[in-house]
Amino acid sequence: MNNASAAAQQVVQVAQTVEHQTMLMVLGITGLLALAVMVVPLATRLRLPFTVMLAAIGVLI
Amino acid sequence: MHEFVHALNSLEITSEAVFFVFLPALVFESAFAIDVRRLFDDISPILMLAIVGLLISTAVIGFTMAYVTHMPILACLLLGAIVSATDPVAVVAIFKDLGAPQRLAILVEGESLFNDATAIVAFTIISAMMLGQSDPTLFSGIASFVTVFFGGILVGYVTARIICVLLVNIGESNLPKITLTISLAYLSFIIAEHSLHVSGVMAVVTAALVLGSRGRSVITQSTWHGLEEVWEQIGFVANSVIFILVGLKVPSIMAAMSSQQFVWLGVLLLAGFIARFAIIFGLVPVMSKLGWSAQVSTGYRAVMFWGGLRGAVSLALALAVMENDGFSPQIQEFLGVMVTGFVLFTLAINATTVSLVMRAFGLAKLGPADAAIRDRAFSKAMASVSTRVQGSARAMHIGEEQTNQVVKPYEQLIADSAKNVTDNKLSDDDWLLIGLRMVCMNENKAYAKMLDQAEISPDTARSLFGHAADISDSIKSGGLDAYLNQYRGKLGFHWHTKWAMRLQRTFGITSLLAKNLANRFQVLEAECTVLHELNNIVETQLADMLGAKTTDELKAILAQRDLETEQALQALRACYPEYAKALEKRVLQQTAMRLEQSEYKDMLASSLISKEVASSLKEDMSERYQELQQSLSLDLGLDAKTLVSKMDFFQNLDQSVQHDIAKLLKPRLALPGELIFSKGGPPDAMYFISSGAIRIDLDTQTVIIGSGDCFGEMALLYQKPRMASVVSDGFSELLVLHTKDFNQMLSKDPELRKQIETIAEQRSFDNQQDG
Repeated sequence: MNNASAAAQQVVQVAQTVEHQTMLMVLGITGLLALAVMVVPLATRLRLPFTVMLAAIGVLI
Repeated sequence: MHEFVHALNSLEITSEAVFFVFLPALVFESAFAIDVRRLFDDISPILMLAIVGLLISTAVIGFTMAYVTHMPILACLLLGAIVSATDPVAVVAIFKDLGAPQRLAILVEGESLFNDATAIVAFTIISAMMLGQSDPTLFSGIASFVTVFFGGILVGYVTARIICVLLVNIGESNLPKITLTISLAYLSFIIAEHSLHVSGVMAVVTAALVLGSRGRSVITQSTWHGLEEVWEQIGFVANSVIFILVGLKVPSIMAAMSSQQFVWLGVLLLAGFIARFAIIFGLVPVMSKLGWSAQVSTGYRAVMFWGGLRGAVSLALALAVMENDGFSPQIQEFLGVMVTGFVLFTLAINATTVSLVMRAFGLAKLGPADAAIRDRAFSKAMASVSTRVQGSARAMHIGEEQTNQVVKPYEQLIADSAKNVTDNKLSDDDWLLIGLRMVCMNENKAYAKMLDQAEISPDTARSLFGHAADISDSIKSGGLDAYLNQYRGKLGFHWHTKWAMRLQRTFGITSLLAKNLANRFQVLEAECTVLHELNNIVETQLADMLGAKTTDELKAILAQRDLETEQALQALRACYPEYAKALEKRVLQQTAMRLEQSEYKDMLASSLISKEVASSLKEDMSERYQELQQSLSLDLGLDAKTLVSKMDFFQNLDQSVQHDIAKLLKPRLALPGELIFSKGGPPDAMYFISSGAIRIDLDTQTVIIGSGDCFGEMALLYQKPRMASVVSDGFSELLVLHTKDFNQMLSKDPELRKQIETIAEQRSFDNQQDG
């Protein structure tokens, strides 16, 4: 009985980890896109290529 | 915030993610945005730079680094291949901001697209050699390169053609069509790279180029705009994600950099730039001198040299090495640090200074023709704005004082720009060429509109787009004369029509010829319609920009072209009146359908009907116009029995004799101006004219004979060479009787023999009289 409950708990934990990882991935990509959008006006103002600014932001993070 | 930083750090960029997720999208987006015709104008220098240039650069960097670092030669060659792939993203963005010449952008983008493929192929071959998976010999390297490179092209071409067929048959909606292009990018890449082990990048480049060139004739203009926007969006997202992720990876790789590696990086940068300089300033001019490519100016070459940035592909290849345990840790670290350092240098230094190079060579400025157009456009716009502002002021009851305050600066600008307009240094000939180019652009737009409104089929649209582009290109290469020659050439018959004729004459297959002529019918009809429209556009829209003299000249050129096109169309109409009528009926039906559609649209916009009612009405309309979906087929009427029964010559003969004769006669269509036989030729056949007109060029005169007549009988009767050359004056339906059948027919039917001999004697007598 104890073994079964431990296994069930383990399954729940794995599911939670996977869920958390998926959430982190979605958060990472969407946040990254939001960051990229903010770089556009900055790159225009600084007269620097957009991709250079993106790479610079990546390094800074 | 903490979670977000954690989330960013947890995003691990792998070479697989770059290759299978980002690369197809980035490469497809770049290749799709390229003007395929312009790319092919400069395909020799682009391929030379992308293939030969990249291999030279790989060798120079590889041997230099091996000499300096004492690392294995294959590792150094691998480094050379990785850092020789250029990335145009940053440079193209600068080009857009500064309004760089289109040709320069295409040279830079084209080189980058193809050299990505070359670099990946070279990388795969060298790494396979290093890992002991293939023979490290030059011959096996070259053989693998050719297979992988051209295999990729083949996969991309086939996949794109299949998708083009699906695009035609997938219905009206935009969304499935756009989705299909996304599938095309990834499918072509995965089929090539994963399933067939050929170049995925070349497959994607080819697929995008095929879609870019053929797609316009199978996708409507509105879908095309949607497609461009979606791909621009995909490109933006992919670039944003990849460059930030690359940035995230940099500190961990560069942290391990030693002072010795710093020196090596200096040597690598020096070798890389020297190799690129030698290729751009050595190889390209040599190609121009040999006549293999058009001249590339020093300014362009300087920008190409300095604008050769390195980016995502180089980093992805370095990552692939770092993730592969087959490589020793020493080589992994060496390649990781060197490539990242090289990429960072070009992004930080070259990307930020390439605009200075462009300005130094005056490439950010408009050329004299564009500057003159700008002045006239500005003057025209200011005059229009001033008048309309005054009109608005009156309508809004705004006082005169306020109106004057707003309008006065415009009047000052109009006065200033008038001076610039008169000061322009362009000759009348220059303005005429500018006008012709504007006309060509409008011609292309008019065909796209016709395709959108289903007035022309995709096949016809493809022919028309091709014609318009060739005519437009001819202006660039040879001015007005080339324009005239080009459109006249287009009115003639192309190789595929001639090939279809040969097929009909040899095997009696008429379907291809009928399809060709039906397409010609529709092409000429569409050209005539558009030429009328262009005449109006020149008068109403271009006249202010081009001036009265140029406008008159343009109108005269268009009128002449219209006349010649109309004549070519008349020749077809005379030969196939039934098809001409059916075509005209269809054009009118399509107009009716469009009008009905716009009625419902207006009613919906004015809220007279609801969306549901509009949709039901449209559904009903689609059913009524279902016959418009079927393509019109042209019956060439090349059936011997029918043609014989129509001819007066055989009218007096019995049905059974007519039937026997029809078996011996071979139907043949002659095109306008086609030589049937020339003087002195062998007596191999005689001809009966079922319809059309034939010109016989005798020594002293020219005789025209028409339907019901025959020719070529004298040479057969007297077994002499041909006495005259015979040319078809328009489209002529002929019945050919070969010598063997001629003898057989005359021996069977003495009546017919007598009839033909009488004609021959009469003609012989006439010829002697004239002589």
